[in-house]
Amino acid sequence: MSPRELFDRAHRLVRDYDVDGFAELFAPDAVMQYPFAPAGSPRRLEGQEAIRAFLATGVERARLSGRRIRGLGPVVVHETSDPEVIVVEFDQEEENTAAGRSRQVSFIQVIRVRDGRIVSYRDYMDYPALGELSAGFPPSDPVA
Amino acid sequence: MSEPREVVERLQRCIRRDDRASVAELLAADGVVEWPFAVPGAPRRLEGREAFREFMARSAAASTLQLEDLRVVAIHETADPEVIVMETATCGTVTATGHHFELPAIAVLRVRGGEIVSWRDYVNTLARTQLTAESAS
Repeated sequence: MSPRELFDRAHRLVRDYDVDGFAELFAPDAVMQYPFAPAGSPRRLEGQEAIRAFLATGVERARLSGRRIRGLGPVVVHETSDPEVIVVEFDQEEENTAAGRSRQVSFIQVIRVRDGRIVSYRDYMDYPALGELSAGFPPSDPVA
Repeated sequence: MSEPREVVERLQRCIRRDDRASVAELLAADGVVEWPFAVPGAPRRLEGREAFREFMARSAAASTLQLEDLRVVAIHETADPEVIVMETATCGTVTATGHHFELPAIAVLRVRGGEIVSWRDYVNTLARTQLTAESAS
């Protein structure tokens, strides 16, 4: 699978809350990074199992808080001079059904794919925007 | 060296001198700067070098941070020769406390004729706000 195909598949799985399917796209020793993560939230996860476990918790919190992805805006994929690496910019329409709030959230991700598996994924996230969607619902975790 | 890479180096030199006024000069006269992660109240988009100049002058005057370096974590040249993606860390100290900081960021630049025509700057607004709060306390 090309980096672009992997991104499309990964995104569909996230939208369907399919954490196991998403984790399977990663190599066993893959590294996930959240360079903008606030204190108390991991900046770096090593290994497919650690990634799966962390995302399972996050997805469960999102589901409990009523937060869901309603739609995907235009996706800009930058192919780079390194054939393993793409940079992806996109907007997502997210809503919190419990709180009756919705907003657009922007994302930018740097993804490295080798032998059809993701080996490195850097997800620069807008934590305040995501936190605003979850505000008022315990636990008050910005990623929830 | 490619034009986009040259612009990144010029930006680096500006930050190392903490010369925010010169950063504005890297933008084309009709260039656009966007901050997709802007918090409410902060601009999300500025059009034109003149508007960016004013913004940078205000931000330099109000700044409580001394900038020292723009460390390049990764540069991605893209299939479009005008477009470059840079993952960086802006390093400096909080003037009031002397506390050293590093702010990671990622930006997508489109460079034409040696000038930035589009600059999408994704910054860690949470960390930035905390640094400003630290200066005030």
